[in-house]
Amino acid sequence: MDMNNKKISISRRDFLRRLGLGSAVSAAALAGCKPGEKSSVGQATLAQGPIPTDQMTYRLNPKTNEKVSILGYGCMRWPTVPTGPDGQDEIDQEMVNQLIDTALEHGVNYFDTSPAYCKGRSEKATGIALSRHPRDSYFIATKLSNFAPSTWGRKESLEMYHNSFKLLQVDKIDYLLLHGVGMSAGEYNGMEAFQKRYIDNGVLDYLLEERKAGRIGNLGFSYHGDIEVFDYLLSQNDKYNWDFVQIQLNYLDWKHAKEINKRNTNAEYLYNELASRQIPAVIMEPLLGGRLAKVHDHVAERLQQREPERSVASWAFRYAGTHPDVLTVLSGMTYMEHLEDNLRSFCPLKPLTEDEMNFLYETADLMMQYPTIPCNDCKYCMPCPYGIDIPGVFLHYNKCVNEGNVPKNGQDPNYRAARRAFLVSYDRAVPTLRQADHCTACGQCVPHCPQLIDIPGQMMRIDMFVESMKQDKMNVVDLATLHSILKEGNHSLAVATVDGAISTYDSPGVVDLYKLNVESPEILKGSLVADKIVGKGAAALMVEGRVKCVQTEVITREAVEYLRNHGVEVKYDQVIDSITNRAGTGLCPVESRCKSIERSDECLTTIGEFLRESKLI
Amino acid sequence: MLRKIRIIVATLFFLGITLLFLDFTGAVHSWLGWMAKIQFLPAVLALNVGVVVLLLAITLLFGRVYCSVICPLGVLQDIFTRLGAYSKKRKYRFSYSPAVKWLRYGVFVLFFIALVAGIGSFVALLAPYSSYGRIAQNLFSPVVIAINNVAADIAEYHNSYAFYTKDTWIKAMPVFIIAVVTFVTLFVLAWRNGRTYCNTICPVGTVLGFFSRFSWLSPVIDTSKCNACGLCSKRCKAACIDGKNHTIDYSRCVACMDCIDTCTHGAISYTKRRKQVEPVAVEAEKSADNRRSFLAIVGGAVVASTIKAEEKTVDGGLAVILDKKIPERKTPLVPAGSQSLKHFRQHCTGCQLCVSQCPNDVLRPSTDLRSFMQPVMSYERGYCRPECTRCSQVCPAGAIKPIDVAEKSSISIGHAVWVKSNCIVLTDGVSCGNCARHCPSGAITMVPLDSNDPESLKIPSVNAEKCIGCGACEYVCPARPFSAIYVEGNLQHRII
Repeated sequence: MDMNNKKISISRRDFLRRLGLGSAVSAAALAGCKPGEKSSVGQATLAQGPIPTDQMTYRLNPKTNEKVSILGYGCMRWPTVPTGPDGQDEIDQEMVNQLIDTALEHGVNYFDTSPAYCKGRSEKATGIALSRHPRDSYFIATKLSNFAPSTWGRKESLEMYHNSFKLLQVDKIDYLLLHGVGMSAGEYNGMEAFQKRYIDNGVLDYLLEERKAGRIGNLGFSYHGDIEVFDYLLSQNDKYNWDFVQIQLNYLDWKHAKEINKRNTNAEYLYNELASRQIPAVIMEPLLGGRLAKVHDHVAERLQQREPERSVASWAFRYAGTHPDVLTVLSGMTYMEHLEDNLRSFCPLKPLTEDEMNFLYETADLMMQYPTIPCNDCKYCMPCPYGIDIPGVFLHYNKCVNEGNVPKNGQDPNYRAARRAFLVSYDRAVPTLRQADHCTACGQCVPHCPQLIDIPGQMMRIDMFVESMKQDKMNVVDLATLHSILKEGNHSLAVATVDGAISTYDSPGVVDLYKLNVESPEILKGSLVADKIVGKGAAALMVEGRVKCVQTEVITREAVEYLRNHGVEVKYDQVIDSITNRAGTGLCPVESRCKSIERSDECLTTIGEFLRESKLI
Repeated sequence: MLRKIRIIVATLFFLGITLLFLDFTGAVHSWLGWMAKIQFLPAVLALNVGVVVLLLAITLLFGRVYCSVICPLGVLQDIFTRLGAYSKKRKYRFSYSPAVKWLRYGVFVLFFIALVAGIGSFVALLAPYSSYGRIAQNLFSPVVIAINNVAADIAEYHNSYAFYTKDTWIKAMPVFIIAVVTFVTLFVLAWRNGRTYCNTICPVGTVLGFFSRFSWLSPVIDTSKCNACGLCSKRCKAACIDGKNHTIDYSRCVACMDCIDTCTHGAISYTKRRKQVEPVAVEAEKSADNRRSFLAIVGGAVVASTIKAEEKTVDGGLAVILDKKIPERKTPLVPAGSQSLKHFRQHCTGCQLCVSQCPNDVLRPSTDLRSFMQPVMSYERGYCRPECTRCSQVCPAGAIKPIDVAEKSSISIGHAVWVKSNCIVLTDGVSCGNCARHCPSGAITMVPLDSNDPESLKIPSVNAEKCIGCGACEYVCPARPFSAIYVEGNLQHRII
């Protein structure tokens, strides 16, 4: 038997053709169909009365005086119908037509798409649906979505730009955006990627000319990631004269974006920067891909108590719309019910009072307590070359967090039920071969994530959690896995507590071990520890903290003995005689101080004194 | 009365054993596991002296009630026979025929030789419990799982976790075909002639028949009351009552008690018997050994193209995942607790109970001639998970000895082998290390590809001494269709 894998590669063109084929066929088939029955808006929600068709709130574009509806239609999440067992699908064009008809009927006039959305099929579907209406009844926004370095050339970029006209069946693009500015790509950071995509190839200059020629109504950019690029582009406003900028804004990101990921920027800063320059803001992710609708039960209760008749999601939309310099709030509405709910929020918009704003900020503080993963299901990371359903895994995990089915430890009163619920629904939500355990941590997805999620890291964390549940060993995390986390993240210390929670630390020397002993001894007690180098001092701190097992790369002979004598299981790669100080002139100061002390509590005190003396704590 | 008791007890046994095969959650095993362990051949192979002595004692006391009550294949044939008796006329469709001695003992001698020589596949082909296991696993189980999956869909709709979806697939085509052929053959035989298989082929029937000749209690014809009407002969599914001569071949009588209720003169009673005369031979049917031809139909390779590490230009979509193919293993993998391949081969009856129980889709019947129908392990759909010892708990034949979770983690059933040419670190030039991350025994370390450059991409290096052969690495390996790391079996399992 030939046991070698034949490397079967197909060209990008084949790949695209394969993807495109499905949609082309469906479009052809559906083009001949009659448009669907007019949707029965209002009838479905009789309890609340019909949605008015003439009450939409509009914002004025200060540069062009265009009246833009405060609710914009995001065309990233069009409904699909499955055509195959393994995620193959095609856009449900008939439904798209219905959605767009209903939206237009109620005054929505801003439609935001991109050549990349919906596996590259969004522009075509949007174009088909919109071209059935008068051209002056809607504004089209699309983007230059040349993320892949192979499309960074001038020719490829312009091809993409001109193709948008064709697919959308228009001769003018009302709003054109440079897509995902600030995101890194491959080995290029945000700034470099921007330079290469838009400046070096002269594409931005070309687009400026196009604006002058009137083929682009408004030119702007959508921003994610590196704040340096955002600041740079605004500083160049005199040169580029941005007509609008698209930013991520919602009541969680207003103040917490940086807390969720230190490389992110709070929406408060982004919005104020734009407002101070009178640049209208287009809002994306007002609902965080549904995360502000599918909140933890406690949070939902809090919101519903205040407005029992309105949805949880409506708070998020009203919040985004309340900011006066917002031009439009985009929502990727897949279902008619979502569209209707949003129309209710914006026909007309009832701005939030200051009291209500503060209520939402308090709610955001509450939300921060639940450890969900900030994935908005935008699918920019997909397809994963190794077949992982990245958003599927994250969404399932978040759902379980919000439903209280992520037990912290085996002692949880509902542990059994939660364990079964988590494991059974995991297999239902994501096919086994696409689950977190198959993530190779190759990292190819990382630069694509606009939320800057450490996808491989989160995958490993979820995998470990699932594994501990499957093995029914909630308090034991594999030592080897912990060690690999230490190595992958290049941390100085990693600790797995009895209940399976993993924390990593990055301070030099024994600082973190000392702090844990003093500040949070419960983390160390019975825990597993992965370390880089362990001497007598660190060993004493582990014994004092009652660590169960430790794995380290390097350890001194003395430390091995000390740990074993005190019943701490120890694994190591290399044993050395002693640890020298930084200058290499003698013994490490912690080591020399602890050398003659046998008792671990005395070592703790001595190390504390030393760390204070040398201003390390 | 006796007949009713027989039917009730037989029904309980039959349902119990069937449930063992059908319950993939493993929940009923702790209650009913003993039903598999009192099966004759598994008990012999497990050297379970107590059970063997008990079964022989029962036979010496009451005749072949084992065949009528405990043996699921026997009861299955009774069900077929009963289905065949759809009319009053059909109910009395049998007739006396002498035993086919040459076939009966010929098969038994072959069987005995195979058993001693350790030709497990031949043993498994003839053993009644193994045959039933094959039928239950290959034919009944998929139906039950299909029903379960419908229930799981309904449960999902109602947000309930009462049922979960379970994969089902033909684990080995030749074994599946054998199961179908056995099922159909038995159906035809039982429909027409009742217990033909039990009294001509079944080696357990032959052994027990030898003992039942001397049984203390048995159906006895009272010649003073008998008018030689022959109704009992027409009713006897074992074809062992010569009503005209008032004799019964007790080596073939399965003590079903049908004749007792049938006799209109009350001439037959279940009691001690006096001297008996021996009857003689006729023909029977033979279930063909079609193994060779089945082996030719080994699953056709599915060749498909893949989107491998394709550059991302649009959002969304799922990359195609190729099905994994089974690597060629020099030494087959058998579960922890088997001690050695030899021990396993000698004791396994191929009943498929472990296959039906394996929750990780690891066990499947072998298609290899030397171990045909005995289970082997492979890791395309899952791996031998550390918390599971189910196969060792259910094995009735002692081929897989009971072990606990802690023991399992230290038994090395095989060792991982890295296939350089398949590793995505080299083929795709990306970092991976998924095998090392999932190794439960820390046997895999990632080492730099270029030993002079510690920053270069890392490839796995296996310490075979620490490897337990669980297959986690092989299962999670992203290389497809052949994993870049696979497990090679150990002939002799060892403790590490």
